[in-house]
Amino acid sequence: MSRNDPAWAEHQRHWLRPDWQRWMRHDAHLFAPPGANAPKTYASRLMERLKAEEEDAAREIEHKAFQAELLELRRQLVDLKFELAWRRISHKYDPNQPRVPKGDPKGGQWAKEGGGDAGKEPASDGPSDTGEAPSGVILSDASPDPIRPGAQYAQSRIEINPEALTGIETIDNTTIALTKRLANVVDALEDLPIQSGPIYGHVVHEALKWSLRAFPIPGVKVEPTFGGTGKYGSDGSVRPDISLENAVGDKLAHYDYKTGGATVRPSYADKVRRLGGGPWVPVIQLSVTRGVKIKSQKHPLFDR
Amino acid sequence: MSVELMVLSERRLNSMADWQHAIDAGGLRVALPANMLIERLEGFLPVRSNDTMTGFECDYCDIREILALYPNVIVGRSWPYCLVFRWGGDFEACIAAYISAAAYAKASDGILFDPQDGSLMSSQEALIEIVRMRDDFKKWSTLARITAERIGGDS
Repeated sequence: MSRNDPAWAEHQRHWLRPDWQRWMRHDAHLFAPPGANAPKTYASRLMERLKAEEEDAAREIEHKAFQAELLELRRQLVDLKFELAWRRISHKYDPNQPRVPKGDPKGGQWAKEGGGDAGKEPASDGPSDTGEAPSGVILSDASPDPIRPGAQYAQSRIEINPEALTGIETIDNTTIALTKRLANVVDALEDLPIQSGPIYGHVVHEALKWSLRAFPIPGVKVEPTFGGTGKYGSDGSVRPDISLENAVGDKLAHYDYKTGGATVRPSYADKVRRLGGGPWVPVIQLSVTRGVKIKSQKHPLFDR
Repeated sequence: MSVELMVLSERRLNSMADWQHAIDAGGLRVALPANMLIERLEGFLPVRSNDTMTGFECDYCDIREILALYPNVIVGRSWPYCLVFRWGGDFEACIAAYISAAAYAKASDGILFDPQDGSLMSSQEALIEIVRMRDDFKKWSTLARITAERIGGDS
């Protein structure tokens, strides 16, 4: 029977001990003819395994170093975007700033604020009662826009749902004013590289809170406390985002801002009504939905 | 704007001490009021976070109400209990609520649901989120104040 015969190979495979290599001397390959495929000894296989493990460990270290470097670069990128956004909001850099028109020796350069070089009225730099916001919203409240159900304000996707309108002028005008203010805040924060939903919600809320404290809307109370002892921080109290009161302190409406897909729970709205004004006081939700929803990114280096 | 976070859990914790133990076991620095009964959680819960007095609203909620409000969220299984955390524009309150919710979820074999993102998180993932918040929150808060001054008033 030839060694090339499959039957012979099968016979050998069947009857050979599985640990036949233990009976071979470690240097058996030295006695094999040149070019023969000598069987690997235990020692050589052990050496190969150790070498492979060392290579894997080196690759793992290299991979971790790469991940750390990548994370650092991402952080630096976020910081750069933050710096850019900061400058833009501070108007040290404003892409909408008017430029000197074509034909002028200084054509294309930034026009000075109030200089009128650009051939159009520049936006006021400070808080204004009238004027046009970058988003194109008319900010004057001297003669408020008529309430238009379903109307969309500013660039943001903030709409007034007809169901939110009460037919009571004071409440509906406040709803529109708050909606515009929220639209301005969201527009100002539009380009920020915020990747986490909670952080985005916090920034929107905080900006709006400070805006309403610095530039109040008549009758609007920011984060009032109801229930408990009536003081902030008392056990069992609740704090809606905003309440609208009349001149004698009667509660007219409560407002709650929500970002993303969040919505006001009916049980919570009932509780706010029960503690703050009565069951007839409407709880109005103002929602903010970002154009591009960015889910929070989890990174393995945070897993420690 | 109020931000909410919900813990969907298999069971309720028996006491504030159990909850506090879970927070301490994670090496987190939030102190719950020891004299409060956990079964009577309703409304504002004052806590101490990083040596600062703050707090958040905390209520038990019917899980059916949550499922009705967010029908597209697949919670994977039926959770008998839901604890809702709610806070406003306060950095420490946000951190304290996240820490407390993560610890509660871990101790009660639950998960966290963020209705803003519509995402479910394990307690471990919530802790990762806390790390990210601590890194970034203060600069974003500063930016929020600048934004408020920048946009001015409209009324």
